[in-house]
Amino acid sequence: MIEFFQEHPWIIIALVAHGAVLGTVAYLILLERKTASWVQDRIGPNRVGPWGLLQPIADGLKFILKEDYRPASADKVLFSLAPCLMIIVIIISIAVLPWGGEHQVTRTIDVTGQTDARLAAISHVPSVGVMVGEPKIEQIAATTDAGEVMAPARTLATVTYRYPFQIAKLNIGVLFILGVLSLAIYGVVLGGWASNNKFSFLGALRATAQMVSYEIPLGLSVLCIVIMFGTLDLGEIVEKQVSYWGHVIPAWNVFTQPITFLMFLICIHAEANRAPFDLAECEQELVGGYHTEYSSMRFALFFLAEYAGMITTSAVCVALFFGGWHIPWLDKIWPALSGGVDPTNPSITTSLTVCLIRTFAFFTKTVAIIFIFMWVRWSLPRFRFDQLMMLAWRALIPMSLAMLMVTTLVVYYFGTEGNRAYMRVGGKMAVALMIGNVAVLAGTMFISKLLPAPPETNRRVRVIGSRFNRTSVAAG
Amino acid sequence: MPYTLTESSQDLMPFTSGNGPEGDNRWTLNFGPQHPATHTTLRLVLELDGERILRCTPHIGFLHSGFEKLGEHLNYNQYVTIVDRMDYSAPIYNELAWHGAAERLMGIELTPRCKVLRTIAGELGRLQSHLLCVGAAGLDLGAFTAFLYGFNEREKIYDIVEFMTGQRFHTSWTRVGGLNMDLPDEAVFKRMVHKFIDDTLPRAMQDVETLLNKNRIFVDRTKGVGTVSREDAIAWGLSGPMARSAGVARDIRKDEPYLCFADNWDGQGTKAVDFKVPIMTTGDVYARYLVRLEEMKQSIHIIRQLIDNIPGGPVNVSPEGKETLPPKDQVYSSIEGLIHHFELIMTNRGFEAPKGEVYYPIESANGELGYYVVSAGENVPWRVRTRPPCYINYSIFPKLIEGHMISDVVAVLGSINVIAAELDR
Repeated sequence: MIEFFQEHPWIIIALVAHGAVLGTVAYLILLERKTASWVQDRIGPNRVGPWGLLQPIADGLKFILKEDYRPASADKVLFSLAPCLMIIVIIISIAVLPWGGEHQVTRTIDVTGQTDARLAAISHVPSVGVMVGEPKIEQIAATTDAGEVMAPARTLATVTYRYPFQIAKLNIGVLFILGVLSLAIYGVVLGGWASNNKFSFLGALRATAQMVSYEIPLGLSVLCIVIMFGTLDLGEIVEKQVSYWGHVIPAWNVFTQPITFLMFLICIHAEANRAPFDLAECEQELVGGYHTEYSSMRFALFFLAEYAGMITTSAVCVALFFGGWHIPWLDKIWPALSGGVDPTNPSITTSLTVCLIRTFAFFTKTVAIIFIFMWVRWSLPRFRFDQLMMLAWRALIPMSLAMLMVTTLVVYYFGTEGNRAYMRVGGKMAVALMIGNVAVLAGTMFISKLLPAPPETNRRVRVIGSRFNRTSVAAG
Repeated sequence: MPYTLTESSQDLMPFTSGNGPEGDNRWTLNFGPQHPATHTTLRLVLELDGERILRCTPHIGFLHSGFEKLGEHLNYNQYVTIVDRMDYSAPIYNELAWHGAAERLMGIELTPRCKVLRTIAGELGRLQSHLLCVGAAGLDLGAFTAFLYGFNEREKIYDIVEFMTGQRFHTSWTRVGGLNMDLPDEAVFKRMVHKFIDDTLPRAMQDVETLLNKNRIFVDRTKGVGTVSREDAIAWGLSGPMARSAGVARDIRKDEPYLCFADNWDGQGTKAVDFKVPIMTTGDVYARYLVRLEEMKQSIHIIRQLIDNIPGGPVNVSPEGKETLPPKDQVYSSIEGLIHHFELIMTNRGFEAPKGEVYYPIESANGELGYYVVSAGENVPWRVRTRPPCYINYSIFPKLIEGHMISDVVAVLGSINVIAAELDR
């Protein structure tokens, strides 16, 4: 049994990661309610269990016990399919998150009696692992006390391999996440359409336009990071941030690409349908938006998907901008935290404990980003639909294009100079990127003054045939 | 001859597809009466082109409770329990207006102490209503936090009102010629009010202002939305913050002063309380929000002038007048007092108002709140008519919202502060 899991470590990681993420979702809802109460001078849930810690269980029970209502005019299949689609998509996207670098293992395997000892040894390397060096094969002759060789001798193979401490290490990880997350829109659209409710339908329409628009600046800001590192693998992007500039500042992208980070943060707010971008489900206008007609577990799935989506996008944000599992400064004291096995690749570690500590650090950072989500939600009013579109098309997309250009130029001129092997962004390049960011910001502010004023969106459109200006109808 | 529709009556008909130049692609959306943002039970039938509102038809009457008819069956003191229920965002106003009208009908001049207490209560009511509306301005745009900051302070007003009247919400505090009861303890009352207006309320207002006033999203959502012109405001008879934000300098407290807003209110030549009437000219949702905030500051200013100078003396006019109940010690110790008490309390007794008709307006939080009372010389009014600010202010809503988007419906609706109970009565 243990052998089986040693050869398929991703199964355990997948089970634990999904369990942890979905369990965290329940507690994120509690965190959200607590955050709201901190912001709003309230106490928040404190009835169920100490400090309300059992509240998520009570919430979950309530969801299960509520009547599962479906409107008679709803499309039966799609109505049930939509929430499933939402949650499946989010669960899939967790797969490529790099929780803890790479784990290097050395195992000794008994391959006695195999015709090809080497092949037999290799067959024990996990499918997701990479073998380091050749397996060492030695014949151990068991001897008697008198020194006589007893037949048959045992053959032992020592094989060293690394496996990524994540569910699946894809070399197109970033692309995979972007692609899978954009499938979530189908859940919203189908749910809104299948409900056969005007409010749901409006919510679904809004969500479609919003998610499609915000995917562009999201993709462009991710592209800046991809260009800097020349890889789409999230694990590799994290690995290349594990370093320091001047031995003090962690080489995280948030310091070299602050504008990109802000744009990314705004876009994941919009992608997660969270305030101030929660137009698809805004209570004050559309009752519940696309999930107006949902109740019980079907609603709970939408609800879970929203929070799980927040975890995924925040985790991607941590991986791209905050050095993933990197624990700054602590690895000066305890170098094993950042490798020590291969000087060119700090992500490799031989200790499982280190992997777990890294996972914990990664998760803590993710929750910190999620806290920003909640903080924003309880502080800001929401946009109106046209203002939302203006923000994407007039501000975010041009700015992210400019950022992309600046990043490309910097990488072209400074990309290869004086970088250590495991560190893509050298000091010079970092400074150049910082200057580039400031330049883009200043340039945007300057150009926005020169551009013609944006259309006055609060303007009232003259309605033809209005009851209130009948005379003007006759005129034109 | 059968009834035929004229062109103007066709405007009142629900829209049918194909009518009008862009008729075919309109989409009808029923906004309410069960809807989170219609505050109570308002129903709007919106005709949409995408998200753009081409026509809005409000349907009212979902909360009609026959309040005015009840006024013809309850005597002048009993009806106060009904008027309380009209504008429930600040119930005390309805009482002031109702008994103001009754007292004007009977020619009763209140005691100075009663006037001061009623004025303070009225301004507390204004704070109460404006806190709700200012908070709701945030709530309707999705900023729930500002709403709760306002509601925290409303709780403190409830505490003060409870101490003052014995009831937190529907106080039924006023009586013809005075009040139900005097303050139980003046020192405690002063301390509570001082703590509220000097400490907690300014802090909460500061919180709301920093959260919303310069918030780019909030300003973008409210500036230029639901604009009322000065001419429209006058033509549609708007009052209160709706009119003042559109540049109409009308405030009943200044124009037709009552209680402590009139000069020489205590008969000894005291000047009227000092306050300013905030005016803005843009007339949009943002202007209404700012006008309300400033009015709250003026209300604090008014309370601050009065709270330390509450005159002594009785709160009710002399019990020789037949309208007010005699003090309890008289009831228990003298036969005249007891008879007087029973004369007022027993069902077929009570006092009669003189014949006549009278209109008495006050400046409530939402505008001019007036009662028109016709008396046939009986102990109940012959007819009571309310002039509710919400009803008149709401009438311009279809015009304001036409050509805007769905999201603006809630913003404009919140800024009018429609109280459906008062609107439908």
